[in-house]
Amino acid sequence: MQKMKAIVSVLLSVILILFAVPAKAQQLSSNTATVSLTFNAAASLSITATPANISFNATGAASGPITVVTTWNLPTTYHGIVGYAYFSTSTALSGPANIPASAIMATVDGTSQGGFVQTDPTGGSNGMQYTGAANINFPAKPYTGSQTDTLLLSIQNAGSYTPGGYTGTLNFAATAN
Amino acid sequence: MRARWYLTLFILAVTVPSAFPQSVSPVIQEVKGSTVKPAKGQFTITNLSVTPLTVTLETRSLDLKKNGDVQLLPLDAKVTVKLSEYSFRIPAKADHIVYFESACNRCVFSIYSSMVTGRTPQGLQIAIHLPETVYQCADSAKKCRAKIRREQFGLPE
Repeated sequence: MQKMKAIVSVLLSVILILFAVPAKAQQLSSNTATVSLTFNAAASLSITATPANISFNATGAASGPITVVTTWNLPTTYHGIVGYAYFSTSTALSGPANIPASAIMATVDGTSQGGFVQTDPTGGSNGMQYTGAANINFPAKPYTGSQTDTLLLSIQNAGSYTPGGYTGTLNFAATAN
Repeated sequence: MRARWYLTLFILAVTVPSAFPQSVSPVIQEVKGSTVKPAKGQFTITNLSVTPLTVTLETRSLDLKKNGDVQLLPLDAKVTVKLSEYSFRIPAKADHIVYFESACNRCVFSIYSSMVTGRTPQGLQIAIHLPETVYQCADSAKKCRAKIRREQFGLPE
């Protein structure tokens, strides 16, 4: 009888061990909550021109070069950026006389480009591309980046103009396409 | 001694012509709209410099050339664009949002911003121009730029 009890005890123990539900299996799983993240990074284009003013000495040399930094962050559907330097009219500087845009010589990134006689974005012929030989074309250039260009200006035959003060505005424009 | 140093720095900051970086965002946008139901949009101009900046805006039509050149034209008579403002001042290191409403069935136009800082008694002052280009289609904003580039200008998408 004692033996029988011992066997039953052992069998019950085995059954308990085999069919016992593990503690962790008793945990309930919730549904998976999700938080959707969205971020719309806007494309941007910026220009920095330094300095804000340029003066010329008696020989027509500029007070210093203009440094133009073009910075962009564009989608991969874009083809390139064209950077223009231009005068709004064929007169670059006005004063006692008019100094034409064609008489303003520019050296872009160390290479002489002549006067401001190329196509400008307003449809005139008083400009040039300040990006020079380093055109910003994609995908040759990265879609996010920046480029620094320098323009050194001078007035051709400066000594031939009527003495007096002359003023004008040089425009910089960058267009992404 | 330190006060003199700060005074020198202040005079330099005020008198030396400095850079005036400006930014426009987004650069190009596609909108859905027509002559009956105008499109609405907005863009941001950022003054990244440490001095306030006066901005003037004008609307232009665009001619896109095959060599990548962009030519600004007077706004097409078939296109109407209303801006929330046409000139404003942006404080240093600040953004300014411009809202627009445009009516056309299929068009591309540019909101051309002009920014000049300082005046010069002699020589050249520098002006910066950044265009916000808008492509508008009556059927859908999606692929509007590609459609106009291809059909109107014969350009790749």
